[in-house]
Amino acid sequence: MTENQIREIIVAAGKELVERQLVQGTWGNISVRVDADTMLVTPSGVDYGRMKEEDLVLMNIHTLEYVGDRKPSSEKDIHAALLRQRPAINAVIHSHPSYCSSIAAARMEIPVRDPKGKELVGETIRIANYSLPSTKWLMTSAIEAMQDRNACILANHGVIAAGKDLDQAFEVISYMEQACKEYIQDAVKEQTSSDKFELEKMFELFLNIKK
Amino acid sequence: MTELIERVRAYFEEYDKLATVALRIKDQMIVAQPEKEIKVIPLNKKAEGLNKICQKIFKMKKSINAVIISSLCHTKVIAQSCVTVPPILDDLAQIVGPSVRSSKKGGATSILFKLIGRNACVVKNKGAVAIGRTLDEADTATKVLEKGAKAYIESTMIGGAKPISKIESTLMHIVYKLKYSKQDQSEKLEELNND
Repeated sequence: MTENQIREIIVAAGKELVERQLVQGTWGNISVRVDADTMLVTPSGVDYGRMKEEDLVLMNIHTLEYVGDRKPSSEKDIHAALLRQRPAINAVIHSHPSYCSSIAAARMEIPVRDPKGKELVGETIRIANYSLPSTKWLMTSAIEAMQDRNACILANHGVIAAGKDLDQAFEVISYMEQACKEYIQDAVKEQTSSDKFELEKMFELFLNIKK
Repeated sequence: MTELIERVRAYFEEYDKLATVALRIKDQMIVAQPEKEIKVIPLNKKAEGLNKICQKIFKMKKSINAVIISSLCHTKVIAQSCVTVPPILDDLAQIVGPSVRSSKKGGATSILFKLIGRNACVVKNKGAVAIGRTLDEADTATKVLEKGAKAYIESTMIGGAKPISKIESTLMHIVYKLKYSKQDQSEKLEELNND
């Protein structure tokens, strides 16, 4: 795939993230390996709806030097480190989807139940230890939690999903959001002794707990 | 002025015409409210209800140019419970502040008190009051608050949230405000000068 083709698929993937409500506004970022030394990464502070191919930043994954006036995403270190240390990974998505955010707030490792999910993300959805955003500490925590995994939740922050290509990274992040949703809704169903998840019942339960 | 009224109307429509959206223009404010015509109200003219809250915020907080009073699904439940939401997510801490305070009283003074050092608070039977230097900033605070409210409720269902420390969340809010202030300066000036 040429660099221009990679630019096109990243811009399209950004729009798809918005459409599928896996990202809000300018938050979240995407990277794709171009060759052994470089990646293309989404820029800092540009809305996916307005993002153009030329806005993407070409960056060296070893030195973190980049080309052009646009600043790369503030979480570029995590993207570069994953591509550097994991040759089988060629695409990384970082975002803050809503159900993953709830699990991130609880800092709770959750089990993966189905074989397809186990194949995609491993036996559990791991939580990377909390560190301030855009720091080396967060990068270290994320890399550690991603050991033998294609995804992890960043405590109190969001999710990192990776794959052999952007399609697989997309599949992983979509699975993560669905798995987190099911885990939360199953917990509500169990506590309300109901077969069906109902938002109103969850609210009632919450108000009772916080009374 | 027409352009600014249209901008207020656009945000109002984005909230399905269910929010109060107010924008300061020098010594006046443009206010869009459900089932009412968009009004331009002088800041020194006596106002009532939600207009009074917006007016008082603009009078007391000179850097604030936009207020959005909304009642989104999860935020409304937090408002009903009257709990203080701790800093459970980075974006919540950055944009809203190191906690989301809850006001049992709906008066302007009580709300202003809960907004000290924060970009939003929740108010019993009203929902959320979010403020910003621009409409965009108040809108972001509203949406981040709703996401944070959802995360707080849902994490309670699975054993409870584990918040970020007070120091780290305060630091993030300060850094965000300084960074955002620079980035958004042009938009802020454009809003105020397009009179």
